[in-house]
Amino acid sequence: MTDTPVASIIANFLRTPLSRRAFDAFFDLSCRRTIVFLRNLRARHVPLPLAGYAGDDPMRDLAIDVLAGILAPAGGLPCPGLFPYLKRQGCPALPPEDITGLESLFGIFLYCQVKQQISRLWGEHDPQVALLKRRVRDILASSEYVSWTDPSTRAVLVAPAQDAPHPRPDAFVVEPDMLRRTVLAAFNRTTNRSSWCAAIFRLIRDETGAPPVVPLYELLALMVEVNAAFLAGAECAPAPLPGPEELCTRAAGDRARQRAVDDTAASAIARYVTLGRITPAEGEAFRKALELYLADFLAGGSDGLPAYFREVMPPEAHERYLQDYKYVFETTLNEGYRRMIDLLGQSDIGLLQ
Amino acid sequence: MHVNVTDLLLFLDGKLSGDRRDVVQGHLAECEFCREFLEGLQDTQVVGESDREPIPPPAMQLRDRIYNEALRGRVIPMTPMAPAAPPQEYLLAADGRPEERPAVECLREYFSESPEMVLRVMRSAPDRRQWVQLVTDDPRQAAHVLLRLPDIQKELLTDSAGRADLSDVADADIEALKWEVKLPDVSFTLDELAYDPDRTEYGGETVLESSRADRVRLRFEGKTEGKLVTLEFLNLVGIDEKDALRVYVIEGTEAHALEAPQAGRASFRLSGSPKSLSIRLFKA
Repeated sequence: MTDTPVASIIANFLRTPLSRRAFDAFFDLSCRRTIVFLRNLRARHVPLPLAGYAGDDPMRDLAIDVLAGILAPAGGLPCPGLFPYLKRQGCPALPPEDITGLESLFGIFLYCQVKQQISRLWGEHDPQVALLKRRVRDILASSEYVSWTDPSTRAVLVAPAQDAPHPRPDAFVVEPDMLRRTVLAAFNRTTNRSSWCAAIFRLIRDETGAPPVVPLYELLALMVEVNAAFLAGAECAPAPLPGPEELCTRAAGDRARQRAVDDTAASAIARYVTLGRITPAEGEAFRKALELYLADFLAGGSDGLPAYFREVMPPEAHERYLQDYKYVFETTLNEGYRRMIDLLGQSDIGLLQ
Repeated sequence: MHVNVTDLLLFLDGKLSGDRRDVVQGHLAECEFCREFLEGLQDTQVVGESDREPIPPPAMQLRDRIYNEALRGRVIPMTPMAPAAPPQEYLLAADGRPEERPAVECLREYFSESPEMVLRVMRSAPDRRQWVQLVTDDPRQAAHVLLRLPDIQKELLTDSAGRADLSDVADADIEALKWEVKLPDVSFTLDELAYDPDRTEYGGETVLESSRADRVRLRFEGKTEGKLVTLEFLNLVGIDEKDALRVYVIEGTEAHALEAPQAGRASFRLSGSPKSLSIRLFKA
C-alpha cells in the first residue's frame, strides 16, 4: 500500500469535492474501477443483472447504473458514503495527512458499493440473497429444529428440537428487538451458518433462562440481512431497532399472510384437488410453498416461483414442473399473493388496524 | 469476532506481521463468512488494467448530471483574496505625465475553491460604473445565479455572461462586504418556445421537467403581444410549501423577478418574443 497518483486523486476529491477538476478525476477513476470490478465479478460467475440492458455493451450500461447509485449526491456531496466510511476506517480528518493506503481503502469501499448496487438492481430477485436464504432455511428445516404455526398469532415459530415437546407452555417467544440484537451478537461469535443458528437460540436461552422460540420468517430475514451486509462489506453495527409502526406492520403482514394462505387453500388448492389436477398431498405441499413465498415477500425479497416448487416437492417431480405443475402451481401462488395484497389494504387486518 | 477489512487487506498484500498473520490465517481456515468476503476482496486488487479503460460517453453525461445535482441550491461563501497592491503610477520620461489609468479596474477579488469560482468587483474608470463579474470554468454555471450580500441583505441576479450591476450598492460598502453565491435550487428550460407571429391569439400549455423530477406547468394565454404566462409548480423536490421562493424568469437573455408564488402559482407577461425561456427558483 503506497502513495500513488490514484491516492492523490482521492485526496483531492476529499479536500474539494465540488472542484470540477477534482470531481471529474475522481469520477473517471470510479468509473474505470467499477467496469473492472464488474468484469471480475462476471469472471467469478457472480450473476449480474444484465438482462434489462438492450444496448451493444450491457456491461458498460450496468456500470453506469451502478455508478449513478454510488455517486448520487446527498446533502450536496457526491459519493456521500465515502466520507463516513473513511472516518470509520480511522481517518479522523479528510483527507488524511498520510494518504498511504487511501487507494486500498477506496478500492474496498467501491467494491462493496458495487456489490450493494448490484443487489439493489436485482431487487427482490437477487440470486445471492436467494442463495443465502436457502442455506439458512435448509439449516432451520433440518431435524435439529422444529417449526409450527401459533394458533393465536398465526406466526410460524421455530425452536430447537431438543426442547420438545412443542409448543411448550414455558417457552419464551423472543421479541423483535432482542432477536435482532441476538442475531448480530451470534454472527460475531461463530464461523459458519449452522453454528450461527445454534448460537442464536443458545444466547436467547442464556439471557431469558427459558426454552427459546423464534418467529421463523423474521429470523430468516434477519440472518439473510446480516450475512448479505457482511458480504457486501457493510459494517456489522446493529441496525436501528424497529419502531412501533414497523412492529404493527409486521404483525399485520403476518395476519394477512396466514389468512391469504388459508383462503387460497380453501379456494384454488381445493379446486385443483377436486378437479384431480393435483393430489391432496401435492395440495398440502403447494400450501407450504405459498406460505414460504409470501413470507419471503414480506421479508423484502422472494425467489422465482420454481424455487419454491423445488423446495417443497420431491426431486422426481422437478423434471415434470413445466409439463404437469407449472400452471397450477403458479396460479396458486399468484392467487395467494393477490389475496394477501387485498387483505393488507383492508382496515380489519391491514396496516390501519 | 471476524477479521477486520484492514487486516484482510494486509493479509492479501502479504504485509501482515507474523503473529497477526497466523491468527488471520487460522480464522480464515475455519470461518466461512470471512473466506467468502476475502474471495471478493481479491477482486479489488486486480485494478492495474483499469487505468487504460476508456470512459464511455454516457458516463460523461452522468458525470455532468451528478456534478450539477451536487451543486443544486448550494450557497458558496466567497473568500476575499489578499488585496492587490495599489497600482503604481510611473511618470513617463518624455512628458512627465502619469500613465493613463486602465479603462476598467478590478477593485476586489473573491474566490471559492470548491467549486472553483472567482468573483471580481469591477469599475469602469470613465463613468465610475461598478459591476461584479462571476468567472467559472463552465460559463453556464455563472449565468443567472444569485449573488448575495448578507451584510446589507441584498441579492443580485447575474446575467447570461455572469455579470451583475452594482449601481444600487453604495460605494463605501464595496470593500467591506461579504459575498455569497447562491446556485438555483430548481431550473427549468424551454429551449424552443413555439411562437407564431402571424397568429394574434395564442393559447396552450406545456409541462417542463428537470432531471430530478421537478415539474412545472406553463400555460400561455392571450394575444401575441403581452401574452400571459402562468406557472403552476406541480412538484418541487426538497421544497415544501413553507419555503420562501424567489422565482426568476429569463426570456432569451433578459431576466426578471416574479412575485412570490401564491398556492404554487405565479404569472407574468412575456415582454417580447423570446426564442427560449428559463425559470430559476431559489430557496430563500
